[in-house]
Amino acid sequence: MTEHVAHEPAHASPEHDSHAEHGAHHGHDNSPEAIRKEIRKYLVVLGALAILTLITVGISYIHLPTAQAVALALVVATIKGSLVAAFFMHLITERKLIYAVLLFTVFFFGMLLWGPWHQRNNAEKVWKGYDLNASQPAPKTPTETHGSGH
Amino acid sequence: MDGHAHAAHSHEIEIPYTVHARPDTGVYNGKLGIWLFLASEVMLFGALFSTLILLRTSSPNWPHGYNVLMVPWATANTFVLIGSSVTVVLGWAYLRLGNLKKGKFYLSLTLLAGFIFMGIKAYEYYTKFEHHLGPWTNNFYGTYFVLTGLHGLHVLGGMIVFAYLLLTADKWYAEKRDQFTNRVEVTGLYWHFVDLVWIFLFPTIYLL
Amino acid sequence: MPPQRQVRVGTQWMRARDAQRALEEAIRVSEEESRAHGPHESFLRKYVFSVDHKWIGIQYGITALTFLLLGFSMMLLMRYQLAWPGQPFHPFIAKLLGAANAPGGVMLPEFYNQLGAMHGTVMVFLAIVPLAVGAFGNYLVPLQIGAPDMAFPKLNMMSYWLYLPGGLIMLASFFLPGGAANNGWTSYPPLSIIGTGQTAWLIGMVFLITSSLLGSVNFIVTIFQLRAKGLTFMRLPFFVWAQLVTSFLLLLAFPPLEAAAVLQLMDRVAGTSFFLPSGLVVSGTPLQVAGGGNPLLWQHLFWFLAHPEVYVLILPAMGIISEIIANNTRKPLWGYKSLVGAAGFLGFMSFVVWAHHMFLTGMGTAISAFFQTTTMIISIPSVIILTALIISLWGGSIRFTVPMLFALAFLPMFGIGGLTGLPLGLAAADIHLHDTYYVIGHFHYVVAPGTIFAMFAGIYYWFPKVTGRNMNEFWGKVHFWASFICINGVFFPMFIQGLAGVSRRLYDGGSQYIHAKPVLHWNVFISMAAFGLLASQVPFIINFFYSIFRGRRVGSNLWDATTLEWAATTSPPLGHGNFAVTPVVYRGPYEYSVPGHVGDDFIPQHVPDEPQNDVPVPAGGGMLAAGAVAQKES
Repeated sequence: MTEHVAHEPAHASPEHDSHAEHGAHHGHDNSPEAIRKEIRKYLVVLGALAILTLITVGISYIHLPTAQAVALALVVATIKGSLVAAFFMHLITERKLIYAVLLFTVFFFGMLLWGPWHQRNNAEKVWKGYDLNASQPAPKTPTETHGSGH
Repeated sequence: MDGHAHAAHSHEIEIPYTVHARPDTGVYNGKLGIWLFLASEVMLFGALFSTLILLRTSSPNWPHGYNVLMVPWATANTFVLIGSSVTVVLGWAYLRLGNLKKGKFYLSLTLLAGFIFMGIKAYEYYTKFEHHLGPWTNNFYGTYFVLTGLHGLHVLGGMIVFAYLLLTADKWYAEKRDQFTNRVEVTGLYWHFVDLVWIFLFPTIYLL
Repeated sequence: MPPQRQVRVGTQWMRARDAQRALEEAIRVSEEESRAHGPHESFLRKYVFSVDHKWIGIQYGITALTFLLLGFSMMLLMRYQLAWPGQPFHPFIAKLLGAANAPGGVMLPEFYNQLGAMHGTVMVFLAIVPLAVGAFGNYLVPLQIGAPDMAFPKLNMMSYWLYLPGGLIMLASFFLPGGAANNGWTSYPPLSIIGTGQTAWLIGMVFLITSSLLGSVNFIVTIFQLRAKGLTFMRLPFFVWAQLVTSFLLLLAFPPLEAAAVLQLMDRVAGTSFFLPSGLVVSGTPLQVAGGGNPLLWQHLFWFLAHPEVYVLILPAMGIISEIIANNTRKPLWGYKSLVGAAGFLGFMSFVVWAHHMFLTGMGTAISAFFQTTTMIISIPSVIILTALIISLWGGSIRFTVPMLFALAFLPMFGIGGLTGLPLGLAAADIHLHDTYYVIGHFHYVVAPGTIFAMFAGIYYWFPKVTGRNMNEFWGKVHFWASFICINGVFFPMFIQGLAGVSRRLYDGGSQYIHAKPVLHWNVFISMAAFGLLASQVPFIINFFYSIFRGRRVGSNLWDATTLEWAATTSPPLGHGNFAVTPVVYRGPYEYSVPGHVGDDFIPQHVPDEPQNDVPVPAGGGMLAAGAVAQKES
């Protein structure tokens, strides 16, 4: 009875080692053909990223109105980012668990951007003269100092 | 090794699923770990982008990045970083194909790209400091230096890991090939994330 | 104890008991063998830079308890000043504080502010969280899920060794010129940027945040990846669930504060003005910075962490309480699924309530309405958890052990803390109550008689697990009753003072304010109660150290618990590796008093339903049956 337990540890590892020889279970296809195909895919993505980089730099030389410039730059950046995430980080074939983690993260990320920005935007509308962030030089005399933001 | 007895007192205890995926979650420990870490990084840079958006939209005279920063050099840096992302996945792919030599070659290229990126970055900083422009100048430069600076620290961290992987590649590849390949994959995931951050930093800071 | 507790030969209960004994014998033999032949770890590896989660848990525990005492002492100094403003300290204490902080034994206002900021910081970031997560989580999670260690042992070690320097930097800042941070634990700019002492605070915070990031990654991976065979998510002890949700909060809420800390550090050392608006004048002199920053941005980023942080403080406490209640009522937790669901929902919602700390910043009605709504919603899961725990008591044959007493006290205390939070969550009421002693009373009821009582409950409950010895029951009860009375004496009058409008940050306790006059006399009462609370901890401290060496030796599973950390390993557990035999799990975590079973009134998680054959199977030795267990994910 006692010996049963005491000797259990002895034959623990061989099973594991034999398992290791069979290549990794990454959730990736590790056959040489599949990997070669992957490599070609990476090079295509590289090409796409290069072209998109040139496009985004090109747009910046047109000096569009701010709203459009921001929108365009973010669209291009999002496409580029998605390419990197989907193919280089192989998110496209990733497990549900990872998606779940990222989904929450993206939501909280959104909240983080929305909170401060909304408050400022709202305050500007509701509190006339709210100008906490006006980049004016510091006043020379102490008497004119209150006002901004109070 | 799950469900099997193991020696409780061996010096190096064996942690399950360090190399192979756990069947029900489908991932190995390192991969889940790095994705969680990246999730936290998303929140870190999220706060920084939130700062950038708030300060920029609040300011009546925020300069256009293309007027004050060196767009050509930054564009070059974008290519360098995108290229380095490809070399990482290529290195990983060749390691899985069993080609250590090519794998190491591409990892070295990645490290080299890191050096080039940091070199260009240093040159950019230098030209600013030379004109006595620093984070203290105004909030444009403040966000520029802090955001690119923290991003640069991330690049530096990745370079240190790649250097370590390259130095120990032969030993690891001979002894624990799968684990080594995993390490390259995980480091690669981090490196792509750093690239991804730059993909957003580049237009928001330099091009708008 | 229930009457049906005799062991009957021929039932599986006999087998479980036998198995336990056999396991212990086997472990003893293997320990002796390893002592004789095994490799010897160096002192540094074993005790200082250990990678064993149990030792790291103990390191966290001892460090955090020390910080807890330190933070408590800071509060006592403040309470003395508040009760008897301007009265000199005892010469010994005056000498200890130094002439720079307390000339002639009378505390300076600047020093009072330092104590205030550091009390909050030390208690939240250096005492409670490291105790709840670093100590209890580290020690228990791998044991409860049947894992040999955390998923990344070295990362675990690193996480402790970032926490300790972070804490020491914080403490050392008292000795720097200008003293420690003195801007409240919330460090609101612009005061925090133009004031003294904040730089060390920020550097310390960067260490602490990095430490808890590493820790949280480790916990999540461990819980997802290293659960024993058969331990599906819905079979996890609630404590593990609580730790899982907590880790997600730490993982995703802390980075924004790290970013904010870096930005504030830049404001202080690099001359940036992220949080400094234009036109700031300090002591009559315009501040020479670029300006254009936004102080409210700091508040957003800070509370984006600090609200989830509140749930980081309370969730592990709820986990501990659940374990203790199930064990001491000898029946399953009522509504396990609702508990799990509520904990998850609580975690999620905690990310979208942060701006209820900022109603008075004038952020506008729309955003206030949003955050009021979410704040009211988040009270629902808290109520579900509390209700489930209270209903769990119903019909149980309760064992009034020391841990159970603390657990029982936790329920109404947390209830008071939670309910008094509702008026604060409504903007209209908050206008009156904001920054008064009412707020102090509210969150201290949650954290002190709430979380800290849960920590005490946990210490009394798992002490035998860690040391193999039990703490003294009588002195435990003395500790409990004295603490329970005193702690209510400290915090309840604060509601009265707060409702009268007394501000929380007054160096003289409010004696300059007419409106504070009718409630001022409570200051002396509160301070007396606080000193009583200090005295109440003496039996605990003595009991704790005495019991480590001289406590009554107890069996491996003295509470007759079902979860793996008690049932499938010895107390104290094996060295690195935890389990002589990796357990396989066959059932849920709280199978107490299962109807129709004879013998013991509990079925450990790793005991199979049907015996494999006539020979008793070693506990956890159901490897033969391992294949039969469906790997069903919830």
